[in-house]
Amino acid sequence: MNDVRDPWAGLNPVRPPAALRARVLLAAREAAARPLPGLFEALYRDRVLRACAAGLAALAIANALVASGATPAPIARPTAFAADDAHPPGESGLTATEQSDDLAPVLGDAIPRSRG
Amino acid sequence: MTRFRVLKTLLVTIAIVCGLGLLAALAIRIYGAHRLAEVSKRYEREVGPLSLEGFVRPRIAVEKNAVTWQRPGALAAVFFPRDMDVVGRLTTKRFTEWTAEDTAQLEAILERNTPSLTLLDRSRGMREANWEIPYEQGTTAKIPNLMAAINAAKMLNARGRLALGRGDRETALASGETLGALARSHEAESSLIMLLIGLAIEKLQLALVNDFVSAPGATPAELDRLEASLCDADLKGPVRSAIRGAAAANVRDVHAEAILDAVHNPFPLGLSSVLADLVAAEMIEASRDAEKDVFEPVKAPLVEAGSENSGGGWRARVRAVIGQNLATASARSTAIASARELAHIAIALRRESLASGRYPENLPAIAGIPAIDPLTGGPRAYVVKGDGSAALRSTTTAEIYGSISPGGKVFYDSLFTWMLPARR
Repeated sequence: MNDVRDPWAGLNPVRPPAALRARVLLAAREAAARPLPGLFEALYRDRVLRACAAGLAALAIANALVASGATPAPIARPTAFAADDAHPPGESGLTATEQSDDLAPVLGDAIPRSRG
Repeated sequence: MTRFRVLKTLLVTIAIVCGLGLLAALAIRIYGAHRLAEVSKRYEREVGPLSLEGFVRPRIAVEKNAVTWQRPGALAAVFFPRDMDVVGRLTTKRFTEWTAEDTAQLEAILERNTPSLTLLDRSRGMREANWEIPYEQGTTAKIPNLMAAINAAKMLNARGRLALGRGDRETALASGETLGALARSHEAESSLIMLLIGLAIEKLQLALVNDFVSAPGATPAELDRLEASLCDADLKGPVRSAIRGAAAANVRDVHAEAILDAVHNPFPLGLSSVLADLVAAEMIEASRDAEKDVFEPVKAPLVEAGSENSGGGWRARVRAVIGQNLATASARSTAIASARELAHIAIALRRESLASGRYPENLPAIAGIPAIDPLTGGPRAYVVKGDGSAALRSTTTAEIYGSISPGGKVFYDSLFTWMLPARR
């Protein structure tokens, strides 16, 4: 017969303070009373999705910035005028591309396309 | 919660796919910008400035500017239906082949267009011209009404031939001089399409000059006037300038849809803007290559544009379209330079015949005119006939010239065969 004494004899679990139990139960009740967030709100609040959206926005902005960098800067026209301050009347004409179809019989089909 | 997880997974997947797409687009854009900068530097180092600023020409005084008269003159032309059919047909035939009906129709057209012709004739002998093209606007620049200029040139050619046929040598000479001024003003611009129109106008002038020189009765004074009306001897400068102008304009506006259309936009919607810089880089490379071949002789008929690249990738196609356009423009310039030099030599031969009573046995050396025909890369053919007349021609063929210029075959004899009459 084993007559060794139980080493845990006399020890009891620590009981939480009685006030804590009341607080936990109150918080649980309040949480249960709050309505659950909707699906879209949950998605909106999701950190991973937010990170994805931020990444996409950053990439889109970077693309736009790189693309806008290629837009040509305006070039100032020379301001030299004729001595009499007159010059031939301007032409309300068309661009080379706009004229290319009409000129195709004269210039051939391919040529007007590479004009400057 | 299951719905949330499914939707979240879906959204994250979409975001990853879109992100990868945007990342790829960004990488392509950055690489394109890098390559464009690289080839632009190379072009500027090996060819010249790739900026439109250099092409904007300083204005010249209105009274010295041939365009002062040419622009309103060309725009004032009034053509009824079928008028241009008549005029166009007559520019391809010598006066001796005209019918009485042709002549009557032309007279009516010329009578209607007296105001236009009077204005155009005011530019005779004027050597300075500026169409004031806003080059800084690149491919969106408004340019003169080129069809009006071509129609005016055809009318001038027909008027000159009619006058020569009727013995009105002064009007024939005037027509040649006005055509020369009109061609010169177009060839002076750094615009490829205007250069080509200038060459087409000069073709009409040279055909008239050929008629004049080939007809008996020319005096030394008339020959002097004819020679002075010819455009300046060197076309290399204008061709190079036009090629550079086109390259600079294309690069400036490469993001415009029109430019991508010009190379038969090989990209699906959306991708074209991402690849625009790479397209521009290929355009510059094609222009750089074309510069090397400017004024190379054309020894065989030109082949169809880039047919060898039709199955290639988009880069090969872009290069083929641009390269072929520039090569054809260069070939046309070479052909006109060849005809222009023949005109100079023919006039010198006529002058020699008037002075000495006969044509020289061999072609004389003329200052500014190379001994080699630029179109063939070989010597010109020249023979003095037993009756005292002479024939001067380029050894190119109608087939070759027909491949260089649309409808070129009908002008082949007028440009490349000069029959000089015996002195009587």
